[in-house]
Amino acid sequence: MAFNVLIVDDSLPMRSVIRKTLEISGFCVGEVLEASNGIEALKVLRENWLDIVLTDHNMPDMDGLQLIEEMKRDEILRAIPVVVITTEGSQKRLDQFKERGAAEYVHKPFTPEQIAAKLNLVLGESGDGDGRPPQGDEDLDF
Amino acid sequence: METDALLKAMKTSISDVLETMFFMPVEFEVSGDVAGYIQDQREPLLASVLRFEGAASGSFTFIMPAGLARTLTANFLGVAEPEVHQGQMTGTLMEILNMISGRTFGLYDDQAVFDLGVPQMIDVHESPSAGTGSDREAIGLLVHAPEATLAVKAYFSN
Repeated sequence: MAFNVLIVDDSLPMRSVIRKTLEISGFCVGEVLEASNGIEALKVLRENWLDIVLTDHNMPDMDGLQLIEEMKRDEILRAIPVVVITTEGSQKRLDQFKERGAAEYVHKPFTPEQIAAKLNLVLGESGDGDGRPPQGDEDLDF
Repeated sequence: METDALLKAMKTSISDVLETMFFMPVEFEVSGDVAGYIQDQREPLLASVLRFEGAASGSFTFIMPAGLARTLTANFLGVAEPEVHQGQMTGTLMEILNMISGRTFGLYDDQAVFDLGVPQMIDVHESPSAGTGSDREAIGLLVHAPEATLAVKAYFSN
């Protein structure tokens, strides 16, 4: 089973890096869609079938916390797990992500292994991956 | 803010970001003379500022030569340097600043809450302070990388 992923970040380079990280994470990734803030993300979520959301917190117009709150208010979207990928260093704020319904969070800067480990935790064995990048000539560089 | 603790957090944060995501080893020079660095550069500079509020308010400024920004961006995105365009370079610079700022505060005091603004590009040649305080009031760090030197400035207004 391939998982459809939505990446939400106002930084185009960061979206590209997360996309690339997903490709080498060992998970069976299906369609990868992108949005640059929470408002765009909600629109994409309502028009597409997504299995997981990876979102930044600090974004213009609608931040990551607001996006989670909006998703939890929606009967269909509330079931989609959200992983926050953030520069946030405050433990209070990080706890807030979990309290409002985030499944997990990942600190920036991150390694491909850290992203894979969190996906493994959230999607479990159904992720079709062991959380480790594939063996072979894959280049782990960003 | 405790200057020594903050400086230590800034150095660790800069190393973490540049080494983890850009595979670039760095060494530090705590000179504070960011204005001198700007003046001495022959290559065009790219600079971004991020303002913050909360437990303290102020700004971080991140400055690097355009050539290095191109190299870092190419490595970050996995594309050839000639393919890198200006928007990708500024996006990468702002993301580096975002990561450095957040990580610095997390290392300095993970119980405090800081609200980080969205990074903005500035022209340091026209306005070296650019609303981010004079060097006398700021903590300045020169960061030596294999190919070039970068500068990071932290300014606290309270």
